[in-house]
Amino acid sequence: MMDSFFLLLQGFETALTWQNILFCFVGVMLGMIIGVLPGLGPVSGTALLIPITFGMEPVTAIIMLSGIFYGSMYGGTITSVLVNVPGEAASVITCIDGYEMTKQGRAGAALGVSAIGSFIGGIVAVVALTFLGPLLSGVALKFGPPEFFAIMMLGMLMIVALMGKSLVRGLIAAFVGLLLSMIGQDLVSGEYRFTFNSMELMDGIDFAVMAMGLFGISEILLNAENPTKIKNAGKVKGLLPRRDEWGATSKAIGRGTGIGMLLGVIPGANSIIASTFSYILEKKVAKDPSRFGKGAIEGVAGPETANNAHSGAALIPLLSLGLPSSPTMAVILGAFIMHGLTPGPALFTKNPDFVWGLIASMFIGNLMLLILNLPLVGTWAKIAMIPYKLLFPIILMVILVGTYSLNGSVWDVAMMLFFGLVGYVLKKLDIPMSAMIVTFILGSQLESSLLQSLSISTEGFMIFFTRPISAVIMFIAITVFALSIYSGIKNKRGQLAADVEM
Amino acid sequence: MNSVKPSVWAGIIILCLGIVSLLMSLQYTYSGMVGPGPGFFPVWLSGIIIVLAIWYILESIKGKNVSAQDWPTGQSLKQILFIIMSLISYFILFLLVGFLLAAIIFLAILFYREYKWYVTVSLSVGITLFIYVMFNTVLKVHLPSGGILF
Repeated sequence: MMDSFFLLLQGFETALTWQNILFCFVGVMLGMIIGVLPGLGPVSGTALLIPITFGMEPVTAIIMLSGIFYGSMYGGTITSVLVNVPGEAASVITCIDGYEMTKQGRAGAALGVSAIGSFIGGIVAVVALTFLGPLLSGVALKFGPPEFFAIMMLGMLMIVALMGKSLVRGLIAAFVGLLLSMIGQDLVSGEYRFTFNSMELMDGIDFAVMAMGLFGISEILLNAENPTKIKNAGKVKGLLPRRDEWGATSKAIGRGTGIGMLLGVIPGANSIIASTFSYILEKKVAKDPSRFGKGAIEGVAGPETANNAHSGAALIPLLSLGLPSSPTMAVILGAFIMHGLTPGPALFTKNPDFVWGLIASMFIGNLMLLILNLPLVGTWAKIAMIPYKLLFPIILMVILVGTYSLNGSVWDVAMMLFFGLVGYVLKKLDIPMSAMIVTFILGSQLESSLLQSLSISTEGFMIFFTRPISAVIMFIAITVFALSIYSGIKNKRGQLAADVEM
Repeated sequence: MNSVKPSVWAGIIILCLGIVSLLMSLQYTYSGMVGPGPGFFPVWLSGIIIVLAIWYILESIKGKNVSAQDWPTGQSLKQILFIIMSLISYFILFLLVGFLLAAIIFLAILFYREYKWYVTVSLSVGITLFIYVMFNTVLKVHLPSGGILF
């Protein structure tokens, strides 16, 4: 425990260099902008900025990219509350009571409460990361290839089970993602696979190219179909709730923090599940549930806290196990690899400066966001008013140039456009792209851990069931899988099972 | 509605993908000296994809778990095709005449329907130059100012 504390202090030393503060700020600012603007989500936003990080130190790069991730959670709230248009999927539920409050002239209180809740949720989640991360990675250091294979299988199946309305479509996405990751040179044998004798495919498909296409271009196309009309927001006055609301609000924030953290650690339980869950819980425990939908402040505080606690907690499995729990995490994992870092349990011992610098930066980043949100909320509202007809050509242009700048290759641009079209069609068919990008990034690790396990095994596939830890994990994975087949047959897959970016 | 649902077509495409990748995977070494070879994982993946594709086609024919999304028609279809065409023309222009002209023309196409011509021109030129300068000087990413033609 004390160790973590001292290491964290050292982390602040890294995070407080002027350079890291600057890029942390850039990251959270961009995150806010991405959160506020429709048509650009965190996945494509993060992928877009990867080329910018090429010249940076790894720690600075990842500080900025994660800033985008948690910053976008704050930003998404503003438009939900002010104009009833969620900037990000996780804030959909905030619209219900948040916009009601705006209609009653209480937009300020709604925004103030969500900024404070987000801050508390975010900070508590980072504290949990500080102490749980090293513990978990300590356990995971003892894992061999079979355990890692089992963990990745579990993560994959959880994502498939929780995202998307149909099990078969989720599985298709996951396996096609794995197949795409096989393209290029095989790291174990050196053999080239699925290259169709093309020079460009020998290096495999760049994950950033895929992310920008699948999530960036397709989003623009979907928006073009039913453009969101944003009307003008009124002035925001006052940022604090009424005195008699403080009690209920702080309890809602507390519960939201708990829910968000718990769900953040589970792969596939995305932040929209966290915020929805929190909303349902708040409604259940409220003395007078009929207030919900009519501007109940707990209906804003709870969910907004939950989605921020979720985004902080999502870093726990990423840093300690190397397991991304959502598409944005997968893109950040890709950035890790690009900067020569191997995510996984060894990270805490091998690159302590990096890990603790990143964790410390999240404290700073959350504080910056609180300051950016409370007094400047009106400015953000104005950014949300930028007309979409002006915005979308610029976003397209930036995606096109960003893709080109990855490797200076026209092939990448063509590939990205191709994935854009594929992404649009997949969205229409309701095949979850999230599952695809996560498995795509995990693909080579999944294969090598499987091959390693099988080569040390004397009884073939049984190795996964004879080693106790992997047996337990495999058992959980199989249970999850069986449950999702069962719920598929019974047609019980509910509203929660949405394919969202977070 | 068409006689064949889009999801059935998608299933058939995925099935073909699975079959092609299975045929290709079978050419790689399935099992090597110390254990499974580079062909092992792809063979299994392709096999599973084939099974899933068939399952998906059957589910689609029965109309179970269908996607709630509508395919675009009329005005929105036109809008989408318009964006796709302008993206493709940017790509071709980029190859032929380089970034500067391609970007200006691409932005102008998209802005033209919404803004007056002089606004369109100044926006397109301004944004292009801004991106060009940013990437070339600040981010040190060279964007080609000429293409095949000049």
